[in-house]
Amino acid sequence: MDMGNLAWTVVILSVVGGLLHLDRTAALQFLVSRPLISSTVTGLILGDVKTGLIIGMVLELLWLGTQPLGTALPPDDTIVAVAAPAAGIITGRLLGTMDASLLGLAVLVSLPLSEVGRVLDSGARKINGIFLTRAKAAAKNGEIRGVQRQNSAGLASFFILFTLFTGIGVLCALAATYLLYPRLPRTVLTALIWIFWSLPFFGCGAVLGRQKGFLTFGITYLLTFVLMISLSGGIR
Amino acid sequence: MRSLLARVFMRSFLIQGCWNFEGMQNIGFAFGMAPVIEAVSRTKKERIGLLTDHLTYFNSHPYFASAIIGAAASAQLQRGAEAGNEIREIKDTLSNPFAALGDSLFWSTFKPLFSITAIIAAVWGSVLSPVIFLVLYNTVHLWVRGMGFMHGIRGRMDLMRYVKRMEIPNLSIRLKRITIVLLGLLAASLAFFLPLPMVSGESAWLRVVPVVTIFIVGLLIKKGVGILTQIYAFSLIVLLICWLS
Repeated sequence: MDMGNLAWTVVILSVVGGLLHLDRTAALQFLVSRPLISSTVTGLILGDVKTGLIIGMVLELLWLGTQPLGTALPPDDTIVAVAAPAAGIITGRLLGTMDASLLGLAVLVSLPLSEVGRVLDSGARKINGIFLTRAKAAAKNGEIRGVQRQNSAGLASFFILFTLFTGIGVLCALAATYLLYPRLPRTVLTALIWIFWSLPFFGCGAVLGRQKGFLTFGITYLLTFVLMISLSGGIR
Repeated sequence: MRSLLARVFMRSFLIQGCWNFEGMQNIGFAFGMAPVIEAVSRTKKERIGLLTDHLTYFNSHPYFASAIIGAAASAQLQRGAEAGNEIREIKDTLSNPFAALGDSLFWSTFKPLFSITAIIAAVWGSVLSPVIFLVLYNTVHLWVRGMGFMHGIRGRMDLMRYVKRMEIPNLSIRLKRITIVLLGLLAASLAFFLPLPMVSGESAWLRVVPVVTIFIVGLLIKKGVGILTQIYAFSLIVLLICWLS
């Protein structure tokens, strides 16, 4: 992958990230912004659907059950779902390697973007206050189109803000992964493999913590696990 | 009339286009009602009154907001500029309960249920799991949104009867139980299928690690410890263990 290709890839990912972010709040809400979808789409764009899907599964569980409640906003899982697979897949291509330690690092460096995204989301909604003032002024003059334009302005500002944020987020995650990964000692790489392996279980725990039913979960887990062991004739 | 209402319905998908902390979905509400305002206002004064009315504070669940817009649009089309009080009443009485019902039904119930279903499909080898999620979720989403709008057009009472018939609190409780069962199935499948890194031979005792992890993380989440804090703390511990060993 040369620099020209890399630049175009980041531009495409930024625009796609901006569009996916619109689905989070501003438009439609078909939930294409969920990490399972966003990460797979990123993988598809980068020609590695499988890696995108794996990271998407891991990230999907981490924040499942968090929701916007009035003015309280959830972390931005969409940015992580674009930046982490992008950082993992592109670094893998550049260095000619791909394993769980690389994906673990890509996820770990991308996770803080979720909190930055939350702050930006709040900022975007504050900016929308300007459009509200304009909408009220348009209403006082009886201008229907003037009011409608403010809704479009809100959508546009949200899209522009999160397109830029996705671009910067992808670049930061990519730079951190690309620069760190080759310099990490073997012990750290081993740790990263274990961390990446554990993340889906952290996700399951997070979902369990946000819902009720520890006992039901425990019984189902045990029964399923015993059933699978007996059907397969032992642990693989 | 039908095409006008169809336009209102399509616009309700953008109700959060300009979500702001002061009026929340008010600009989106006015945006959705704009075709109706255009159709019923005869004078500039009426237009100003209607626009100002529709720009008052409004916040509900975005999917159920379509139903409220439907009810408001219908009232406005029937009684024109005289429907101000009725629309205010519709917004005041329905927005909060519908917000709570929508959050419970969609964000806390259908989203986790279908996400976990799709992830189980992926763990069992289906690359179509994102499509499975989108189809399952949006079938329900569009059905509720569309039917809510239709019932809203027929009037507030009809809409309330429709939502009551759905028995959302009971439905949510039942579906959440299914979600937890599916979560157990998913966690066990992951523990069974995910090969343990760098461990050779039979290592049944290590297979206990996932379920212990899940319970600890779940309890810490309940105690209010954020997931990122837990992940980074765990990463440091793993790093330390690897370093020492």
